[in-house]
Amino acid sequence: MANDPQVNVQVGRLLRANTRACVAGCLPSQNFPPFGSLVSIDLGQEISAYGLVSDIHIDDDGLVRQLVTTPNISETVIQDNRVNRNVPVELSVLFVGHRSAGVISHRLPPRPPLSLDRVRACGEGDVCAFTSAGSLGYLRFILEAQDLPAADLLAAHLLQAGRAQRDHGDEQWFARAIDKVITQLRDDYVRLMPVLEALADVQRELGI
Amino acid sequence: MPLNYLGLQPQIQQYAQNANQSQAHFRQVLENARELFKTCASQPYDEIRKRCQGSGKRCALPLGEAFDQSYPPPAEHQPCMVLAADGSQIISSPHDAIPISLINTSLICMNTGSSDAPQISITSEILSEDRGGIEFNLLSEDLISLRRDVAELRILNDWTAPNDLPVAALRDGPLELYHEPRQGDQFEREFKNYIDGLAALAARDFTLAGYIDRTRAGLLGQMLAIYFEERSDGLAELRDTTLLAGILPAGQRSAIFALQSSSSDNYPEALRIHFFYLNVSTNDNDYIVRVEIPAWVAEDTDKVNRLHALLLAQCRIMGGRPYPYLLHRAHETAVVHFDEKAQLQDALAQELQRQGLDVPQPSNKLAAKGLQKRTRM
Amino acid sequence: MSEPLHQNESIGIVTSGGLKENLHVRLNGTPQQVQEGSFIVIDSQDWKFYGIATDLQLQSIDPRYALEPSRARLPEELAGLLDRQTLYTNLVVLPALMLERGPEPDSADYSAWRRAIDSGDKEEPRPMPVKSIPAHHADAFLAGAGDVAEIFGKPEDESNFVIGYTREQDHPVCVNLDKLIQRSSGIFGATGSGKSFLTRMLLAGLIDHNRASVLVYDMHNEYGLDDTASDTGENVRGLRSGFGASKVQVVGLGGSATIRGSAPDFNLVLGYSDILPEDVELLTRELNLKETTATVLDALVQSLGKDKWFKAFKAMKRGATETTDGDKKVPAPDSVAFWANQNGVNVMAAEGLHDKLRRLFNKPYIVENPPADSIQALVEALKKGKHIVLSFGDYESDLDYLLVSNLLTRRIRAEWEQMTNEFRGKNGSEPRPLVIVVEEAHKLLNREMAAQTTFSTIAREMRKYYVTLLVIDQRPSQIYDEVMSQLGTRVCGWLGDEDDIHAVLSGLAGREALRGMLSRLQAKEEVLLLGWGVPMPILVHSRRYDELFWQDIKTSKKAGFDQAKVIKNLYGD
Ligand SMILES: Nc1ncnc2c1ncn2[C@@H]1O[C@H](COP(=O)(O)OP(=O)(O)OP(=O)(O)O)[C@@H](O)[C@H]1O
Ligand SMILES: [Mg+2]
Repeated sequence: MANDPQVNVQVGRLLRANTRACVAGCLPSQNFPPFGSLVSIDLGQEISAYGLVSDIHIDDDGLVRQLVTTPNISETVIQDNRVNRNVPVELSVLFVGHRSAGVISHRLPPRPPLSLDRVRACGEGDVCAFTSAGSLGYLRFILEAQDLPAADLLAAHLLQAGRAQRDHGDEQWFARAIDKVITQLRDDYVRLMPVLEALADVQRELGI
Repeated sequence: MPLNYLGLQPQIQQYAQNANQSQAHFRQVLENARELFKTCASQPYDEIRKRCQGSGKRCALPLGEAFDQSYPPPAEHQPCMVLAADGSQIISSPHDAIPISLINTSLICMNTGSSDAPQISITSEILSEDRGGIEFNLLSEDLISLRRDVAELRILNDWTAPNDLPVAALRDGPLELYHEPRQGDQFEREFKNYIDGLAALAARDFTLAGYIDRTRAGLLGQMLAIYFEERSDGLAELRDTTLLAGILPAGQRSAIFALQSSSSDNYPEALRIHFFYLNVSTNDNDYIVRVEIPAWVAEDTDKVNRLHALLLAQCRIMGGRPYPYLLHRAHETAVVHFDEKAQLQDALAQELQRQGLDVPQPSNKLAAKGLQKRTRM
Repeated sequence: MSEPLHQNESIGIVTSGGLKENLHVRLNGTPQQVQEGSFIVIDSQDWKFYGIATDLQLQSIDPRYALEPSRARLPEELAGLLDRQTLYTNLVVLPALMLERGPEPDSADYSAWRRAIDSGDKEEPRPMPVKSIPAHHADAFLAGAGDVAEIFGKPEDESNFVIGYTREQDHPVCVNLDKLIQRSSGIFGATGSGKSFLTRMLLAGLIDHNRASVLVYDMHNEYGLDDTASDTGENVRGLRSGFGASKVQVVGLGGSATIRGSAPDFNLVLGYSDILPEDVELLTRELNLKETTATVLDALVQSLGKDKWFKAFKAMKRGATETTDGDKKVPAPDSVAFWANQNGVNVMAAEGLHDKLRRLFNKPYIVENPPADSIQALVEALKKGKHIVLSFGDYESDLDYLLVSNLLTRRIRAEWEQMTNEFRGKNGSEPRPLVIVVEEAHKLLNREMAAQTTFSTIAREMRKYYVTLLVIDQRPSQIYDEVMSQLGTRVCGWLGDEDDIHAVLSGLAGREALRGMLSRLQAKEEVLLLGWGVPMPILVHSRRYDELFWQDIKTSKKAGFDQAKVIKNLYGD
C-alpha cells in the first residue's frame, strides 16, 4: 500500500488503550507509520484522537524463534510469517490531542478509543492542521512522557511535521517548535541539551 | 513445599532400578527383533500377508517393496501445490452459561514454486443438532472429533485449484478413523461422510497424507510376532520407530505397507489406508515419523516420491525440530483461544438478549476462572 | 551592537525589585542597547515611573547555560533560540519619580479623569518622588524626548536651560535656572573633566536668563575674556566677549592689572581700612599664624581702631631699639615691641604676627588711599544687574584668593542682608538675587575655614538673603560636609577618588547605585545631574561649549534650544 502523504490511511486497529496512550496492532506487511509520526483514531461522535507512534514492537513467538535457526528461509515462508501469521506489529501511540466537532485541541482525548478502532496515519494536511493549531502545547506530552526516548521521539516527530509545514509554506514552524521545547525544558539543562542536539540533526535534514 | 521429596526418595530409587532391569531385557528383545526383521524380509511376502490376514490382528502387511531396505527421496522435486488442513474445536463444558460446541477448520495453501505468501482460509461452524438448531446439549468429545475429521476433508475438497500443478494435501494425524464409539447412527453417518470425502479427494487425484509425528505403533513387530509365532516374546510391544532406527538413514523412507485393522474392511479398496515410515532428521538424531496414505497414493510412485520430497522440504523449514511447516501453520491458524471462546459466548448472549431471551449465567467456578484474563496496558 | 530602538519599543519587562533595592528589568535584547545612567521609563497601568539605569547584570536561568557556549554544541540558529531563553541581561533601575498618566487617552475613563482635572476637582498630575513601584511585567522603555521634557522641562521654556543630552538618544536635558539659584549648587569633577566649560555655559545661561546677578571669583582668569583651551588650543569665548561689557564686566585685581594682556573694565583695589581682623584670622593656615593671633589682633583693634589698625601695624618697625640713659637698649617707640609693651601684649607674639603679615603688607592691591571705593563700585554694579568676573590677574596665590574673596563676600553679604532687611521692613525693593561662583572652593570651604567664612554662612542660609553659591571643585571631599549637604543642584563629572564620590553623593537617596555610575563616567563631557535642583538623577553628555552655543544664545535669545539637534534626533540625518 503506497503511503500517499496527502491522505490518511488506515494502518491498524486498536488493541488496548488508556487515557494517555494506546497500542494498535497492524500486520507486518502493511506499510505501518514510522516512529514519531502522527496518527488519528476516530472515536465516533465527531471526535478523533491524535497520537504519535511512540514505539513499535515486533513480538516473536516460538515458531519465529525456530525459523530463524534454519539456514535458508524461503521467501514464501517469510511472506507467510509477515502476511498471514497472526503476530501483529504493535504500535504504541502516545496521545497528544484530539479533534472534537472540527476543533483541534492539544489536550488528551475525552475517552480512549475502543478495541479494534481504526488507526490511521495522518497525511500532511492533517499533520499541518494539528501542529499549527494552538501554540504547540502538545509537545508537553512528548517531553513529559516517562519511559520513552523523548529526544528521539521529538526529533522524529519534528522531522515529519517540520517537513509537512515547510512544504505547506511555513518555514518558521520548526523554529517555533524548538522555542517551545526550550521553554518546556530549560529548567532541566541535563535533559534539554541532548534533545537540542537531536533537533540539530533534524534541522540539517530539513535544510531550513 | 508441594512435594514430599523425602518420602519420594525410596520410590525414585526403586524406579531407577526397575528401569535398569527392563532396559537390559529390552536390548535383548530389540536385537532379536532386528534379526527376525531381516529374516522375515527374505520370506515370500504372500505367505507373510496370508498369515497376518489370517490372524485378524492390527498389523502391517508388506507389499511389493523389500521392507528391510530404505528408500531415498527423489533427486528432483517438481513444484506443486501443498495444502494443509487442521481443525480445532470448542467443546462445551457443563459450567458454560451457553454450552456450545464449535469446530474451526483452517486450510493453508502454498505453491512451492512461488515466493508468494501462502493463502489461508478458515471455516468456523457451530455444531447443530439434527433439527438444525444450535446444539445446546453436550456433545461427546469423540463425536466432535469425528466431525472435525470430516470437516478437514471438506475444507480440502472445497479448495479450488488456481493452476494445473499437482496437489498434495496434508493433515495432522492418521487418516484412519479410530474414534469411539464405532457404531451408532451418528457415527455411521459421519463415517460415510468421511469416506465420501476421501473418495472426492481421490477423484481430484490429490496426494493425500496423514502425518503422525509421534507414533507408538508396533505394526511391524506385530507382523513379525504373527509370522514367527513361536518366538514372539516381547515383539508385539516393540515400537516400529525403535525397530527401524538405524535401518532408516536420515531423509529416507521405509517400504510401504498396508494397514490391517479392525476397520480396514469398511474402507473401499481404493481408499484403504497404507503407511510408510520416514526419517525426517537431517543428522544422526533419527526422527522417524509415520505417514499414512490412501491406496490411490500408495500405488502411484510419482505421488509417493512427491510426498516424500515435500515432507522433507517442509520439515527442513522448521530447522532443528523437524515438522511440516504448513501443518504447523494450519494448526496455529485453526486453534481457538480461550478468550475467543469467551467473545463468541458474549456475542451469543447479546443476540439472545436482543431477541428477548433469557441469558443463562455461567457457573461460579467458571466465572472465577475467567478473571484476570485480559491484559492491561 | 543592536539597532537604535524605536522610541516606543519596549526594551524589557520588570521582573522584581522594590523601592529599597531598585527595580530589575529583564532586557529583551542585548545588553548594549542600554547603558549605565540611561533614563528609563516604565509604564505600569495608569502610572509612569522614571528612573535611571544603575547596573547591568548578565544572568542565566541555570549557570551551566552561561558556562558552556551553546554554539560549541549547537548550530547557530538553535544556539540563538536557546540563548534567547536561557541567557538574559538584568537591568537595574533606580526608580526616582512617578507620574499619574491617567487612563488610556481614547478610553471612556480618560475623559472623566481629564474632566476632573480641568474642573479643578483633581490636581493636574505632576512627577513626584516614587512612593510605589510598577507592577510585575510592566514594560520598560528608553525615555523619549517627551519623557525627558516631561521630567526635566521643555527646552523652549524660558527658565529652562539645556545643559546636555541623554546618553543614548540625545534628548535635550534641561536644568531649571530659577530653581538652580534658589539654593547653592556645585559643579564637581576631576581635573580636565570639563567643569570650567560647563560653568561657562551655565553662567551664560544664567546671564541670558537675567534673573540673578553673577559674581565670579575667577582665580585662573578663565571666564571673562577669551581663553585658549589647554588641550585643543582652540579659542574659548569668555563671558564678556559673549555678552559685551554692558552686561558682563571684568574686574582686575590691583591698580594696574591687565588680564591676558587686555585692560579690565575696572580695577579692584583694597584700602588699608578694608582689612579687618577676621580677614586675617581666615588666613591662619595660609600664613601659619599662632594661637596668640586673636589676642594680638584684639589688642590692635582696641588700641588703634577697627579701620586704622592695619595701617598702623604695617607702619610699626620690627626690632627697632633705642639706647636709654643707663645704656640700656629698649624698644623704640615706633617698634612692634614698644606697642606690645604698652598694651600688655606678649612681644614675641606681636612680633611674630607682624612678621607673618608682612606678606599682606606688601600686596600692591592693598593701598592706603584707593582712587575710588572700588568695592562699593563692584557691589553697585551687581545690584544694578550687571555680572562681574573678578580676575585675579597675576595674583594667583591662595593667599590672594582667600583674602580677596572672603573680604569681598563679607561685604557683599552684609550689603544684601541689609537690602533684604529693608525689603522685609517694606522700606526697599526686593534685592536682586546674586550667585557667587567660587572656583577651587575647597580652599574656602574646607573643614577648618568653614566655621569662619562667609561662604559657609551663605551655603547654610540658602537664599535667605538672596545670595547663593556656585562652587566648583575637583576635590569635593575636602569641602566641609555640612556645606556639601546644603548644595541643591550638583553637577558632577568623572571623579577618580572614592572619598570625592562619597562627598558628592552625601545626603542623596540611591547613593550606592549612583556611586558606581560616577566612577564610570567618561573622563570628559559627561556629567551626572543630582540633588534637589533636578527632579531625578540623570546622566547627560554635556552640551558643547562652542561658537554654535553662542549662536544659540544670541539668535534664540533663549539659550539652549538646539533646534538642529532636535530635528536630527527626531528625523535622523
Ligand atoms: N562642554 C564642553 N564643550 C567643549 N569642550 C569641552 C566641554 N567640556 C570639556 N571640554 C574639553 O575638555 C577640556 C577640559 O575642560 P575644562 O578645562 O573645563 O576642565 P576642568 O574640569 O575645568 O579642569 P580643571 O579642574 O583642571 O580646571 C577643555 O579644554 C575642552 O577641550
Ligand atoms: Mg577648570
